Amino acid sequence: MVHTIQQNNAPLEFNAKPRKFAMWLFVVSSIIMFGGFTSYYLVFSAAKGKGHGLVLPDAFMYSTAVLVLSSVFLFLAARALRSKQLKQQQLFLWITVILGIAFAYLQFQAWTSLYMSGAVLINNNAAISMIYLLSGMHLLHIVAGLAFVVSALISSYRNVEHAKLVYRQDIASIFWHFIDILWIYLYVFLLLNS
Amino acid sequence: MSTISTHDTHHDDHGHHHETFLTKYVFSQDHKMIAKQFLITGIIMAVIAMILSILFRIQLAWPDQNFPLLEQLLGKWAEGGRIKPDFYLALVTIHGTIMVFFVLTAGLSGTFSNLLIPLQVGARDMASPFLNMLSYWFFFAACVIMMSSFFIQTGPASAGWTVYPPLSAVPKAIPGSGLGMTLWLISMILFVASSLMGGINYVSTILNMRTKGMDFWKMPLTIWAFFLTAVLGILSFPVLVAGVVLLIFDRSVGTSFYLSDMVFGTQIMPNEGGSPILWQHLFWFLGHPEVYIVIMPAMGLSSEIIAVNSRKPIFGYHAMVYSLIGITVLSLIVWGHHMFVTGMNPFLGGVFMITTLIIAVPSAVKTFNWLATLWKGNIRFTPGMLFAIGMVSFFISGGLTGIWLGNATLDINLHDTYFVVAHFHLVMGSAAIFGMLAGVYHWFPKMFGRLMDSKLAYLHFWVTFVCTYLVFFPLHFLGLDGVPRRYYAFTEFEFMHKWMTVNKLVTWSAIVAGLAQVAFLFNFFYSIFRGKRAPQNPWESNTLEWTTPVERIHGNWPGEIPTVHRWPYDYSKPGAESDFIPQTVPFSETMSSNLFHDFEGNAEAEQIQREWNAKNDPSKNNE
Amino acid sequence: MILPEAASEHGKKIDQMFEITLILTSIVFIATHIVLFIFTYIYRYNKARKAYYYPHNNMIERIWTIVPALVLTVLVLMGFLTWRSIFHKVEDPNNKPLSVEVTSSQFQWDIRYPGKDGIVGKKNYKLVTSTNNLGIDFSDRNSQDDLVADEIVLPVNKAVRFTLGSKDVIHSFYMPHFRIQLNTVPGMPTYFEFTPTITTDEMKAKTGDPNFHYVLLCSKICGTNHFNMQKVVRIVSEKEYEEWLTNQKPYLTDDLRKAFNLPVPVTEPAKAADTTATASVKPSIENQLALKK
Ligand code: HEM
Ligand SMILES: [Cu+2]
Ligand SMILES: [Cu+2]
Repeated sequence: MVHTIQQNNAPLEFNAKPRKFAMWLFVVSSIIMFGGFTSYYLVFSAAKGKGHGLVLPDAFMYSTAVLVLSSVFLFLAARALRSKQLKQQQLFLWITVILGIAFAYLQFQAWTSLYMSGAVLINNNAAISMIYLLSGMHLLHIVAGLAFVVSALISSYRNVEHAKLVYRQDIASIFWHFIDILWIYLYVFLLLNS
Repeated sequence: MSTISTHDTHHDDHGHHHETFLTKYVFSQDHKMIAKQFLITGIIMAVIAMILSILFRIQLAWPDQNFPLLEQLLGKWAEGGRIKPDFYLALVTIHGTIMVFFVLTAGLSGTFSNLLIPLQVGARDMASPFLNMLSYWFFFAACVIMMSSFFIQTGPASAGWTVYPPLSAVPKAIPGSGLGMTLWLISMILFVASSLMGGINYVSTILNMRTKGMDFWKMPLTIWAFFLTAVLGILSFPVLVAGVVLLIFDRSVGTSFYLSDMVFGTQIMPNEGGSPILWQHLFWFLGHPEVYIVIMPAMGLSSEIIAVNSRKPIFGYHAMVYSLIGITVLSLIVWGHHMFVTGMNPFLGGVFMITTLIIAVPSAVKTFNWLATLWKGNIRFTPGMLFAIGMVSFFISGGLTGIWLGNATLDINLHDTYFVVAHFHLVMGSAAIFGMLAGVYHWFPKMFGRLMDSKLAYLHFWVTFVCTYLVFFPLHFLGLDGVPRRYYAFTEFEFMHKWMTVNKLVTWSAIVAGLAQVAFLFNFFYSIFRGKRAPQNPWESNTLEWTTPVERIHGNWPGEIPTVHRWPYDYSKPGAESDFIPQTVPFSETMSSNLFHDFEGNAEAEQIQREWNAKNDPSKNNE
Repeated sequence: MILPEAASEHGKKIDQMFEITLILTSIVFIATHIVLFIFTYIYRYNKARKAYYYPHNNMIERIWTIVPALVLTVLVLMGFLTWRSIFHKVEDPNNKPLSVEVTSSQFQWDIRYPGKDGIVGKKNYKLVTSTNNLGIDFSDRNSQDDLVADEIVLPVNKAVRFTLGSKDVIHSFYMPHFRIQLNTVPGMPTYFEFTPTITTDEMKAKTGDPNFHYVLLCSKICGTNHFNMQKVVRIVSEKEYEEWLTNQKPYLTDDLRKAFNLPVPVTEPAKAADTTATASVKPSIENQLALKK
């Protein structure tokens, strides 16, 4: 078996660009997955001549507002980092995390009120099941997004080198803004195709 | 400037970070090791899937004979020495799934994209080595979970590799749709995650990490193929996830995305309102691109191998790239040709027929260009070359029947018969496997620093090539006679009895072909340890990977990464001393062979060349 | 040629196109393989020779892009027109096709003929019981005279329109001799209209096989007995067909009449009980027959 005779002395230098690009590609594939769900919805409702036919719970409206707000704070965090104000960045990241959790809570609220109104998940109208599914899959993305934000937060406390801080913050920003826009899209989609 | 002579390795000793066995061989983040992991796992899965296929071929050839051995091997699945119908379907399903996804997608793309992308574009590793490692381990987990379904009470998934609901959704419909199907779906989600992590890495690496001078039109066709394959994967695999998630909900939660109006015996099922056809749309939106995800890397590998061993530039490099791009784009809009007879809107059927037949054009162009590359070549019959030529032959044979099936009208009679089985085993099964084997023989020296034995390789090639045709070609005729696929036995319909002898021939050929793989396996594993040591550039090839040292090092090149000056296909260039000019050789060193065309409109370089020609070889200025 | 003879009108058209495609692709297949093997043989390695540096030729490449494209265009056009003619039937009110309903389930085919009114009545899967295994809705008048048949018998040269449905999983209604294949999907009826042109007896003579009969197969994987889901199909003369039809029994049994609150015709009770008994036993007998065959 061949064996390593020597190591390259230049450590594989850290290069953020290809990794950020990879994050963008992940965003693309995620969009396509939701494209799959929403095209199911469109074909289904076109074939049956009906959508979910519900008035969406108010909680969805609040959660949307909360999510947009969290995006604003994440943006502020990125700006704080750029002017090297770590304390401020940390504060804004914390707010983002809290708003993210609040969003998740509101989504559960929305499901509860859907459930109470009789629009349950196990439904003979697949369009109604789809509301749960879309918001549920989106919530999984929120969990992943929180993980990225927390990773930016941790590295901010650990005071790692600036390039890496910016990289972590950027990754968190790309993903979080994406899931923000994604949720707005899904919400509007569900509003329009009732 | 660095040329091929990056061999003057200056060994710096500092910065030696410690590698343990675990980080080197198991949780390695080095793309070359991950490539080997993919390859060896892929080979193991291929052997398993091949054994499964021989099992069900035995059932088809001798449907009313008992083989006590089978009972000993398979226990209750073959009580009395005869495979049971449910288990037969499980075998077919798992065989197809393993071959398509685990061998020809992960085993092929995973191995060669990982090995060759950094080496051929001139990068030290992938964009994210960590993600790359995860990609392998997700794949590994997917394999383990899929195989574990053989050890559960109700057996593995058995609704066919396309797992159409309701059959796949209702455990009452077939035992395999119980826990086995759940495992299938979990395995598939892990597999898609693995593919996406891999694909994202490949694309990002190719777009961002090429070495100096490696512009798009200097990339070898292998890289083009891996790139477009990865793009296609990113665009289509997520849709399969969407489909699978809905199926999981239907199965485990009780929703009705795909289910409606079902009665089993007299038991009326509660699901209502869903449509099973929608699964097929979501599945084939991935499924068709998937077949090209399988063949495109094989095309890329074969193109490279054919050019190297014909000692000629690949004919029509640009056309080869454009046809790959065409295939990538078109393959996203043809999925409906798998659904001509589902009762979908006939107008849609017509549209899908048009797009499908258009996709045959780039495929034809590729074939003709391969043939033209051979023309007036100086062909070295290395094992890799033989398999690449075999790949071309199978691609033609199987591709042509695609034209029949793509014609919706003819498909009425051919869909779901053995004709389709023959089509895709030739064009996908055989062609892609041959492309993969060609790649293994060709890049084995790069992976293990040794050469495989060529006598054994010739034996392997000829037996496999002949037997593969003997297995799949006769199946066309069964299909034309109206024999449907996935039949457990041909005993119940009188008109099928005449095919029993053919079935025996096919089964014997499959067994012989299977035995021929022993020659390969032995050769492969023996050569890893005992093969002849390989020189740095055994095939006298132009691409960058052969400028790295034979020994595996982290970071690929000991010194600087070489700069690229020319396209990878300067073989047998008139005026050059040797019959190959590596990509790293600057034009200034090859004045006698440069063509004005090489400078891509760079006036200064052309001027220098013109002056040189005037002094040394005035006739060349007249061109 | 290598297909069994087509026994339907559209089948002949399909076969024509089949032959054109077969000839074209065979030419390409043989030509490319000759070239492939001859080139590899002639240009095998020779130390003294150098390969010809020939990176591209736009003219040639253009030709072999355009020629296949043209040939394929022709094939597409033919295919498209034939495809339309098969699936877009213009309804002629004076000459309505015969309607037959086929329902698939694991692992059998159930055939329903329309009765005198020529219309196959409604059904609903929620009505399925052990006596009403298709879930026929007898409150629909059109259902009341529907006939049960244990084989498919069709008059020659008369258009038939099959309504296909499935009770459980997807199956596929495949009759290779007539060049017919269409999936049967639970919850979504599908339709196939065609005209058989050769009777079973004629086919026996043509093939020289006294045991010849048309087959109906299932071609979509559907479970354990997928490989054995058969039904005999007979194409007969108009006269034989009429005769056969008069011998078929209605679906509507006295038990079912009671279940649907329909008047039960007055016959001696003993006899009524008798017919129901045979009727309800029937499907299982059929099943066993199918399995044994
Ligand atoms: C020349 C271009 C091709 C055309 C026009 C074509 C056309 C078709 C059509 C129409 C079908 C559906 C047949 C049916 O189910 O009735 C089909 C099936 C299939 N084709 Fe191709 N094909 C082409 C090339 C390929 C290639 C390059 C691959 C893979 C490498 C491939 C793999 C498959 C597979 C796997 C199936 C069967 C899937 C299944 O039902 O299990 N085909 N092809
Ligand atoms: Cu396809
Ligand atoms: Cu079946």
